[in-house]
Parts: sequence; C-alpha cells; structure tokens
Amino acid sequence: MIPFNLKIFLFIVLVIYFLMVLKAVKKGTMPIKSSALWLFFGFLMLVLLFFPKFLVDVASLVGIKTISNLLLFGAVMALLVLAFDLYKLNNTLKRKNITLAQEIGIIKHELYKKK
Amino acid sequence: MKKILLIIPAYNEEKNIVKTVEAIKKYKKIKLDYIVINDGSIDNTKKVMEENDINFIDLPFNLGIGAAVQTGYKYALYHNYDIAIQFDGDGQHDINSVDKLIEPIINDDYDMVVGSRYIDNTSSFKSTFSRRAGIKVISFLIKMLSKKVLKDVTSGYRAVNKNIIEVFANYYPYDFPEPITNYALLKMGYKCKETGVNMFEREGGVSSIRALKSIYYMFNVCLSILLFNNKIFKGGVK
Repeated sequence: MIPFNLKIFLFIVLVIYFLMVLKAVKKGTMPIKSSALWLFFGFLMLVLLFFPKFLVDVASLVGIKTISNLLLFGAVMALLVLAFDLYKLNNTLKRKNITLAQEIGIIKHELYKKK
Repeated sequence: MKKILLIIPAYNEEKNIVKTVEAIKKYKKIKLDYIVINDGSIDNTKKVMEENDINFIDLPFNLGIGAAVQTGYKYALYHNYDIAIQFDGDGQHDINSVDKLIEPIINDDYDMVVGSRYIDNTSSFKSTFSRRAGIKVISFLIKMLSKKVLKDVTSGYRAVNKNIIEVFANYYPYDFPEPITNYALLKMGYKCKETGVNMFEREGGVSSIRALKSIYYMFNVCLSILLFNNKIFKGGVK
C-alpha cells in the first residue's frame, strides 16, 4: 500500500512529466507521433500509482518475488529499447549527414570549376 | 573511347599527394581523368593541392575512407564515366598497372577487377604478417560462402564498370568497404576477377589498418560478411 502523502507527491511528479511532454509537442521539439510513446509511459505510471495491486499480480505471474525487482526489470528493459531505438536513429542521421556532406563537396567542386 | 576516372581518397597526405598526381599526369598509355577526395584533412593537403592545380573535391569534414571513396563514385556517376578506378593517395599503388586492371573490363566485359598483390608475383610488397593472416581468413570465408576465389580481399586498387559505379554511388559501406563490397558483388552475381598489380610500401601517412587492430578488423569483416544483405546494395538504407 502506497502512503497517501507519497501518492500525492508521485502524482505531482507525473503531472510535471505530462506538462513537459505536452510543452515539447507544442513547441515542436517533439513530433506528435513520438509523443504517443511518452504519454503512454506516463499513463502507465498513473495507472500503477492508483492500482498498485496490478503490479503484485504481474510479479507473481512472471515469478518475480518483489515488486521493486519487477519495476527495476521493467525500467531497464524500457531504457534498453529506447537506447536501441536512439542508436538506430543516430546511424540513420549519420548516413544522411554523410550524404549531405558528399553532395556539398561535389557541388562546391562544380561551382569552383565554373568560376 | 571509354571515359575513365581515378578516384583518389586523401586524408592528411600533404607529403604524397603531389607525387601521386604527378605520376598519373605523366602516365600517357591511356587517357585518364582523376579526382582527389580531400577527406577533411587537418594538415596542408588542401593548400598543397590548390598550389599545384590538382583537381579535387573538398569534403566539409572527415567522413572516413568509405564515404570519401563513395563521393568519388557519385562524381563518376554524375559525370557519366564508363570506368572508375580506386587509387590510393599515399603512393602505394603503381599507376603503371592501371592498363592491366582495366583490360578485362574493356575486353571481356568484367564488372570489377581487383588489383592483387598475391597473384602473378607482380608486387614486391605483400603487407605485414598479421594483416596477411587476416586477409587469408577473410578470403577463406568468402570462398566458402560464394564459391569464388579472391585472394587480395582488402586491396584498395580496383576498377569497376558503369553498372558498379551506380551500385556504389547508391550504397557503399563506410566500415571495411573493400572486402564487404567484393563479397557483395560476387554474391549478387557480378563478374569479378583478380589481376596482379604492383604495389609499393607506404611512403607516408598511417595505414588505416594497424597491426594490433588486425584481429578486430578480421572479426568485424567476417561478421559483416555473415550478416550480408544484398537488398541494402540494391535499395540503399531507408
């Protein structure tokens, strides 16, 4: 059972989290498409905050003894997926960056030749 | 008359590049164009090339050997060249072997010809022991998987025809490009062969494959070959 004051504190943290995501979407720094994932994480945390028993059920279902271990495992997995996704994105951007640099080099060469 | 381009990647080659280009200019057996790709050199390579009126593309920053060579292939594609030849800027490759290299493309319709240090005994320079061992392992793996023999799999002295210029302009691996592209072309059914060429010992600069890195290099190349996917060469990275 989560103490009432902790519940309030975590709720405030979650509200700030939601505001941060929404502000990023509004400012255009986060595309609406990817905001869905972040909002989903927030929503999941909100559900767990008010229905923590759900965690106990899941922990016993997968054979994890303590809820904290389940949460830690979940957090590590979520971060791993995120890191993998960012790694892929980083490589795609690197390739695009290289393509741009190559084209700039060739165009500069053509311009220089015409002078 | 075939339009032929020499692609010369150069990174910090202020000491060698003029000599390399002078040798090409003196070579009169075949009409050759050349383009040096200055890959963001941090020494005086660019200045030296400007002073000596060398034809070069100046990349805005260092992209690495694979991307620099690919810039040359893109240039060859945009200028409608029939044959492109990779040629090192450090004076390692002998320009006098160039006719041997392009002959099979012109006469026998080959798509790619790799200049080899290990056949015909043309070359006195055979590379270091650790690198030679690595090359043997990679060559063996390629033989197992493609049933074709290619001895000098890491040779950066090679000629390709128009079809391959287009393939490489579209996609070119940035890490360990030579062995991977050699295997890729064999696997995709292109006609490739090896011919003996002369190579010299490096006159300056630092080889991109250092002795201690040979094992790591070999492991990475083998992994890339095992995970090879030819769709990437046909469609590029989406």
